Amino acid sequence: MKGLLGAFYILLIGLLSLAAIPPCQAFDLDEHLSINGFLSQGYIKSSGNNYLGDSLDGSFQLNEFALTLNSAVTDNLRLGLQLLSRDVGEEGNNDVLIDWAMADYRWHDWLGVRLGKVKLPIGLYNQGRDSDFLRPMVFLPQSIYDENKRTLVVAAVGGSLYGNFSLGASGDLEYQAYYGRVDFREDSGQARGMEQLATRIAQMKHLGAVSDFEADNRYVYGGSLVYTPPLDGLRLGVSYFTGQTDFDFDVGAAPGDAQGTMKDFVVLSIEYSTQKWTVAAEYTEQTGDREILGTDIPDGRSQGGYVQLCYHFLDRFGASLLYDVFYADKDDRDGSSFVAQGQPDFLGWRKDLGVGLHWEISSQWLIKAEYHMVDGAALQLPVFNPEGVERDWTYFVLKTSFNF
Amino acid sequence: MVMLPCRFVLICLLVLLPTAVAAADFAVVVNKENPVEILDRDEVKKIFLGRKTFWPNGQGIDVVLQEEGEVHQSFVLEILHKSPRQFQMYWKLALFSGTGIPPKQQSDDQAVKAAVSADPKMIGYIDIRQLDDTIKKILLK
Repeated sequence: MKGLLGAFYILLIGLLSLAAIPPCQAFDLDEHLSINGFLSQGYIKSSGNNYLGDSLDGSFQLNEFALTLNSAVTDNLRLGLQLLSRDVGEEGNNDVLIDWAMADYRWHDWLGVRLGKVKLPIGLYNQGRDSDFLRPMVFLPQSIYDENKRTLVVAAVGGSLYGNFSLGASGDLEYQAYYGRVDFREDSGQARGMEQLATRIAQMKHLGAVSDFEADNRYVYGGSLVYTPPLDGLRLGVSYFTGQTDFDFDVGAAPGDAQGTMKDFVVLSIEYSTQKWTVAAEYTEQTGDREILGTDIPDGRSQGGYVQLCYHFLDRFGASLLYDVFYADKDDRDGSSFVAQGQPDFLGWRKDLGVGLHWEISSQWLIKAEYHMVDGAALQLPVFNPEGVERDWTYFVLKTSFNF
Repeated sequence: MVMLPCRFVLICLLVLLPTAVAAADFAVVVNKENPVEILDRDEVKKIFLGRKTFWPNGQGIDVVLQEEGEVHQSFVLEILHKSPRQFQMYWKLALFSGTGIPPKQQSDDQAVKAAVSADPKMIGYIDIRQLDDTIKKILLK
């Protein structure tokens, strides 16, 4: 799998290079190969709990750098590649990775295919989640775009079908459907959460220490529909995702294994924009299904959603307000199952009230500042706080981004 | 006493003039070889948002934008119903998520006319006062 992937990327980079220098024509980089990118650097400071890393002491481990290459080879065929280096707390460490890389062939407006590593359409904003300058706040609402689950849901090696159906006077319907496998990084919050859980279960079963923890995604598949009705500025969406990952590790001197499935991850979305206002709301449910060292983890079906308002006072200056809620188990909103396991009930929810300001200094340069007050410690917060978590906590983020 | 009304009229003209320029009339233009004569406004919107990418003869549509200015602002507001900033963000999302390449941009009407007259598949927009016989105006329904 990885060998084939490497060969594909080398072929793609070669084709992009060839596209940049067509035979019998003057070298014209701008005509045949477009080069873009972005850089961002942030600072995060929290109180009460660490969030995504050592944020209690204040952390600059919050950045992304990307280089994007695109070439329209023919009317139908486009080749593209984005390299991404990111550091978000303990994840990323600025390793340079291929964010997406694809050959995109479009037969008709209603049918195209993308092969390679494709971004996954989950909710309205997952495909643009690494470009923070595209949205009013630094982090997308965590009930749906959980940073700890990013590795599993951001992109997959495989393919997707996409297209746009015109419904005449009734509007437009865009669809995307995909199947593939994810390069599941062991430094992701989700993998480290599984390792932490495996360690706890191994201790309970007196099996010894967990080591050499590796994650191997088996598959992801899903799709999205976005309906644009005749009312300007309104978009309605629905998306579906399912994925399964195997985890291999040593426990004591023996091999151990675990499986994790995120299934029936459904997001319902609505967004309405005018020139000054944007209102977005999304609702989600998903089922977790984990088995670690033969022990079935009672994950249940989680539930979440948010409402976000953004108002532009001037064309390039705006303010945002977010209310974002997540319940680990929609049938146990008060966290009583955690209490039964000897853990605090507030691991069962996360309620985030955030306010933010953003200033687009130019069309390429943006600064954002925001403050969040959070009740609850769901969404893997114990991974970053092994000494224990607090129920009420806050975080402040300052971030600047430049794109070209 | 006579100077006061004159000064008042002058001030009124100065105040009104930018408004008149900001609402610049534009024309959607294609290459003279392009057989298309009329387009629905919604079709033009889909073309500039990358949702309609082929002409009726099966050839791909090449889109050209103006970088900024009153013509660009009028076109984006009136046809796409977005602010120039929102339109720019729309294409940046496509660019950085790998779902599309933003259209090429030209600096002014003359550059757009030169690009459209050189490419049979291209569509753009210019100040209506800059129309000439090097390009063809599309009638908007």
